[in-house]
Amino acid sequence: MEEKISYIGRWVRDAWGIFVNELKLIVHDNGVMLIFCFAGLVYPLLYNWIYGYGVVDDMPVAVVDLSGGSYSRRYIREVDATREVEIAYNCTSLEEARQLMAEQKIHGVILIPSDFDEKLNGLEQATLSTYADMSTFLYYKNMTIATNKVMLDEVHQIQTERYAEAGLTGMDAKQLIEPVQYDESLQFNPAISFTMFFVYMAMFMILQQVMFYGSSTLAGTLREEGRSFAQLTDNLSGHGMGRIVLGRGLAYYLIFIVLGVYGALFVPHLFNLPMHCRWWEMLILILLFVADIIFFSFTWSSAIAKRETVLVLLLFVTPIAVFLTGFTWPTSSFPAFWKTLSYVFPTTFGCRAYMNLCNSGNLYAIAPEIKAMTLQTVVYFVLSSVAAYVEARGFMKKS
Amino acid sequence: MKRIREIVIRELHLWGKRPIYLLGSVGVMLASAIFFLTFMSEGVPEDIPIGVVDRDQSSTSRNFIRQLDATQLGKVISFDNVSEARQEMEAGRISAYVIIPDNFDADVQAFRCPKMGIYVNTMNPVIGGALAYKDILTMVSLTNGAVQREVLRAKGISEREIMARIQPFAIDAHYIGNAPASYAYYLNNMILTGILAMSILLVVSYALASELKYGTSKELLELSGDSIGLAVFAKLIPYTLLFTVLGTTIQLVIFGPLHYPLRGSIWAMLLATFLLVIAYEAIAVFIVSMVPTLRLSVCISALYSVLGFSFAGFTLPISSLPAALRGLSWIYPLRFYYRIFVQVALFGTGFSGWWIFVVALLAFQFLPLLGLKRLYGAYKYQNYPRN
Repeated sequence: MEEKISYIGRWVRDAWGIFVNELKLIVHDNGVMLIFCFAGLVYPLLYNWIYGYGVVDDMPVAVVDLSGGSYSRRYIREVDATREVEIAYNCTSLEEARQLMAEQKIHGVILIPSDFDEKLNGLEQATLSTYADMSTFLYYKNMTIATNKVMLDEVHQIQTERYAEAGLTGMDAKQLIEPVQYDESLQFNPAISFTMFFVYMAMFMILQQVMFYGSSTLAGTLREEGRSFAQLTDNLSGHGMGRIVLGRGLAYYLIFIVLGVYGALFVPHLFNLPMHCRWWEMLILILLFVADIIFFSFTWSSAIAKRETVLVLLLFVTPIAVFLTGFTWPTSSFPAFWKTLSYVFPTTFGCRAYMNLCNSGNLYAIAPEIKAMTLQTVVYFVLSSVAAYVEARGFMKKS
Repeated sequence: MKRIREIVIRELHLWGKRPIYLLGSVGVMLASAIFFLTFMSEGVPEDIPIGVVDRDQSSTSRNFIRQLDATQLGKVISFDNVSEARQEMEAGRISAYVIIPDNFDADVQAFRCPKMGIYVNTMNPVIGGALAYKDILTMVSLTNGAVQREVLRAKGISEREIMARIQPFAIDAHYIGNAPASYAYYLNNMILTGILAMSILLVVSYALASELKYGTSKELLELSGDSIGLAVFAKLIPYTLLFTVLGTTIQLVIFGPLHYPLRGSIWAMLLATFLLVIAYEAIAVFIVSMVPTLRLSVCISALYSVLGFSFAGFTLPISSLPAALRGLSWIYPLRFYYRIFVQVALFGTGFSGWWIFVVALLAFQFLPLLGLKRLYGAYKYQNYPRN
């Protein structure tokens, strides 16, 4: 029994020593501190600020009205009244409007052909043309929403007028025009803005990347200077990989709980980002995610032999990890190979879980992601211990 | 001339000695190009999962579901009850769901105007839920059209007039410079160029600052005859060539075999790429001059370049940024490259449409002049901490 207690006691003492040592290393390395402080503290604020508004309002659009009748004028007026679009120019030709678009003074053109009103009056189907600036998809989205929404309204209006002329009014006309009706509910992001779309993904992404680049920079430095953490086993007579991995892990855990609560809970709260869950539910997710990214980083940083290499060689992984969260290109459309690759990153599950927890407000909705992240954490813990063991064996052979 | 040649050859030897130079440039660009060019190769997503709760189970409702499923965009997943569908949408596994009410078929036939419920996850403002929404609305109006057509036919109205009555007017939508509204056409050029910019900054600032870390900067100055300008100029020649070749290759692949739309001249895109390369090299020189230590200059390059994706303006337009931040877009050459890309690829305007952005990109060449003296001091006396 005494033997056992002393073993546990030594274990705790060793782990504590490694923990304190790692914290010291982090604090005394200004490159790592720059990554942790600037990226960890400033990026969450900056991204919330940059994308804080997130919509394009009253996007300038030009009109070429060659018809000039009452239908076309009404259509233009209604489009102008939408939140998305504002009629900024009246042009006499499509050429003129296109020129304005090339100069980026407008981001859409509505062309109403000369026979538009004539056809509508003659009970023929009329057509109008729209031209959308595709330089960003938000312009395209605004143009599509505004012109289509007004078209639907106008079509119903015209139909109602026509049935009224034929003696059908009120409910009778409505029944004919819209035999099937619908109630629509745009959920989670009713303003269809860029804000939540981007920020929900970005907060956990920042945590993962900061952890990975920061800890790899430090691991690379130590290896370069020939004092890798794996050599610590010398003092522990070759045992104690668990102590080293957990001791170091605890140091980062402490830092990243602070950064996590700050970046994923406090800053979004400051910017009034909708978060329908309770704070402790988010805390549970943060606690799990942080463990996941720590062992993820430990595992992959085993390959980093020098200090600066990780940023130079692996910064490009950030945009790839961003796309692999499925926040923009839908997961259901991932090619199979990239879908498999996406399982490598904690953010693939973490960002999704973060967004879904904010939206739904209950942990049940993110159960699959929690399971996946737990599994990931265990796998990466084992892998990082094995990597540390292999490295330590290498050192022992050398000496 | 001889000096320049010697410095260039010395640099090429360094590339051979340390793999980081070629891995950080060619390796990074190759991996990124393979990823982004295959990841969104469809351009427009297909088979977006849409949930349906069919409470009617009639031929009409089944017909509606079948047609929704048959669209290229949507793929129907059936649910027994609403709460299941709602949970799946909360978990992000379906983009939208439709509830077809009880007695739907009977109510349609009797003109009692049954109401469908449409719930859309609009988290993604450009594709995903937004596309599913459009798909569902199209199906609803087609269904409505079909019912109306039956009634009007029974009244003996001609097919031509029926069309005009169901849909008095329609929109013929054109998408300038990206006819299929492809997400790949929209993003890939900018993202790959953004990663190229990142790679230039990191590799060049690594190259410049590693002279300090490995204490070889004096040797470089000796080769250049104690001229810092010549030393930096000659040292950057191989990088300029390497990154211009990489950027050119990307442009040629995208606009060549992959047939991304290009209205204007490919030469204009290649010019823009070259100007982007030398602009980012200038920034790298500036960063290393200001912070002549390897560890910090690489960190700063990384922190700066990541924000470039936001400040180039191809995701959220600069005009929608908070006023205080808009000016920051000026410190990103990627911003001006984007403006040229839009002018050339989307609108096909000539030089008169984008010369101003060429000037802006060239203006970055003044940056290194600000710091050369400081860099000379660092190279000569190596009086900064090496790590």
